[in-house]
Amino acid sequence: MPPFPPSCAVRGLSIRAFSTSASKCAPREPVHHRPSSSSSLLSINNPGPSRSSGQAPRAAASNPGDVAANLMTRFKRDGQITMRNKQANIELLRNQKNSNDYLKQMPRRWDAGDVYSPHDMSPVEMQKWRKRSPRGGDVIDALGIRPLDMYKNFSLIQEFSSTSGQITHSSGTSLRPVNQRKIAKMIRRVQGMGLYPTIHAHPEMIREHFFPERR
Amino acid sequence: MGGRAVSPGGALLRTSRMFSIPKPLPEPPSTNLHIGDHKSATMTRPYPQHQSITSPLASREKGDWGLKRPFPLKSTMATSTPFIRIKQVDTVENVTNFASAADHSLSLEKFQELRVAMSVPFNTDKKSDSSPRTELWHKSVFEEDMDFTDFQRGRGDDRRWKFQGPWLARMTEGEFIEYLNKKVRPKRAHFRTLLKEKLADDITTSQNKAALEAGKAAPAKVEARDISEEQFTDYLRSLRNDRVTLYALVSKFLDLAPLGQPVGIIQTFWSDRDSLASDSPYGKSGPPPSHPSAGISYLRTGSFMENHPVYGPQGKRTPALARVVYPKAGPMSPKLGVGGFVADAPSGDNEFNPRTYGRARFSPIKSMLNGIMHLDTTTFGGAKAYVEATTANVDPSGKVVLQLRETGPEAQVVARESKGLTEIYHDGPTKSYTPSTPSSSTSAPSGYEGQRSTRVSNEARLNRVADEILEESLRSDKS
Repeated sequence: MPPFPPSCAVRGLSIRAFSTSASKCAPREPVHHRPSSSSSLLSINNPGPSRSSGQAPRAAASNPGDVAANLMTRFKRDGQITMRNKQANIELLRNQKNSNDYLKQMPRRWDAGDVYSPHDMSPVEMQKWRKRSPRGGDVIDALGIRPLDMYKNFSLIQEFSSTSGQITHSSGTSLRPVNQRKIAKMIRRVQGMGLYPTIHAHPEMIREHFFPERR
Repeated sequence: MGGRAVSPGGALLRTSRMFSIPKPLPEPPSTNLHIGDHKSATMTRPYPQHQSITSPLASREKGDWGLKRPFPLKSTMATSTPFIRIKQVDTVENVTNFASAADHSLSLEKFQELRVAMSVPFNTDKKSDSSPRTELWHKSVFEEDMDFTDFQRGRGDDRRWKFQGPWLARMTEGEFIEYLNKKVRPKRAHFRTLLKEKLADDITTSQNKAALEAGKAAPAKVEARDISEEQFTDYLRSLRNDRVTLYALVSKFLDLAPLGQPVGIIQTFWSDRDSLASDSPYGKSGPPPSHPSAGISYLRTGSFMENHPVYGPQGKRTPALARVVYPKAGPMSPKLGVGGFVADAPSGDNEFNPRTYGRARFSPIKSMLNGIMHLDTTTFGGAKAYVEATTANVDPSGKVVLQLRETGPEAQVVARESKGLTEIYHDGPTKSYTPSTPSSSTSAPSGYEGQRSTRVSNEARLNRVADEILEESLRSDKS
């Protein structure tokens, strides 16, 4: 008899499927409800509906007529769970975007040990953290370098000259007069020697404008 | 001129507020050293630079703050926090330059409400565990073996917080070169004579030891002038290779603030040497710019138990409500603000740290605080949570860094009740509770009735506590 073994196999398969579904469903209930010790203490007096609903599908599985209905409810519940997960993910992404948008208005990176008062949280104060503040001290003194030796340091020259090759005024560099004179002398020398252009920034510095793919 | 007695007018001037205002402290290094940094000129500084001045109401109404001229009533009377700082007593425009000092004054008040004891920074260095007594708990900055500034020969370990020399780690390159040229070079000859004396002492002790072992009389003491130049040069060469001894000698000679030990040295082998950096609590973190308490708290310890008038001794201290100032950004931990001081969120498995599961990375954990992973834009006033401030220490740039710890749910409920946000304490009989006592207890003598009723009320109270805690968790789930 050819049709007999497949039908038996189908029946066996289906039975196994239902039995596994029942055992799979069982632990999912307590995870959803999360009973803590205090909540179980509280629900001693009134037997909760969650307990009875957790045992219901196992009892129904014995009845072969309800198996299909059970299967359908399981699929429905699985679908609901995946949809809820998806919704939670979407919610998370939306929160993240919302948070990032707001954090763009809070440019201050707080450090442990900072002290704040209400006005530090205000938008006026936060806007001050957005732009780089001008240099306060003398960089040449802080680094302990000799400016006249820096004639090959094109990024340093660029820092102290404009894009059209002019030497920045000491009010812009915040150097002390001695160091300002040394820097100015170095820039005049390097431009006079033809090592640094007098009418535009150094080609090494503006290369990426013209060859963005090369590095 | 100096020896002359002060005239009555002069004495009056000297005790006046105008002359008793101390010089302002320097700008914090984080706001003036970092070149081209993002900063604001009007931010609240990590520590106050000017003295905070207040005046009684009767004087304030007249504009009298004890200074040269009366202050405008419009600005000094319209505030609930009458604290000012004097930036300049007298300017060329004939005005007194002042501003409100409410920020630091109120921060100090809040900090003292936290009842935090200052401690020396924890030495997280694994290698220096030769003295485990310091690693077990936070040590107060007011301990006698650490809280001194003068150097005494008799002390075995040098655990001072103040040093004559600079802290080399914080110096910029230019400052370092200048220090070498101006301070170190002129002391070369002095150091050489010291080294010669040390070499003479070493030779004398080794000779004495050899003579003692051989059973002979001790030879004559070697003086520093007896040492030949070749001998001394050899000694210098050997010192060059013995970095631990050399560093210890140099840092003791110049009284440098402690740096970490040179790497690659077996600590136990060298521990008998008189090295400076091994035991100093500030070797790793750097010395504080002020006294390590910063004058912000004078408590010796935070190890005390609080007593609640109704609930008795409490396991946890009264927690403080912390504001989530900035959510977690990459590897940076979320920043909490406690009483105006920003601190790192407590580490460990708690509501401030996302648990890192391999698979469930994307799903939000229910028990986590709302503002940690991203900014909480739904709660009015921002996300807040109860934390417990354990201790604080002063870092090399003068900031007061609080150490936070998570608090228990009971302590949170009690703290909320003390503010009137919830109500747990209920002495009367409750309806919801039905005691499931066995029937034999009904025939108990009436003397037990009173006891049982108190027990019932206790259990009802416990129920209420459980209710409150549950409600708490449900509330945080929903939000």
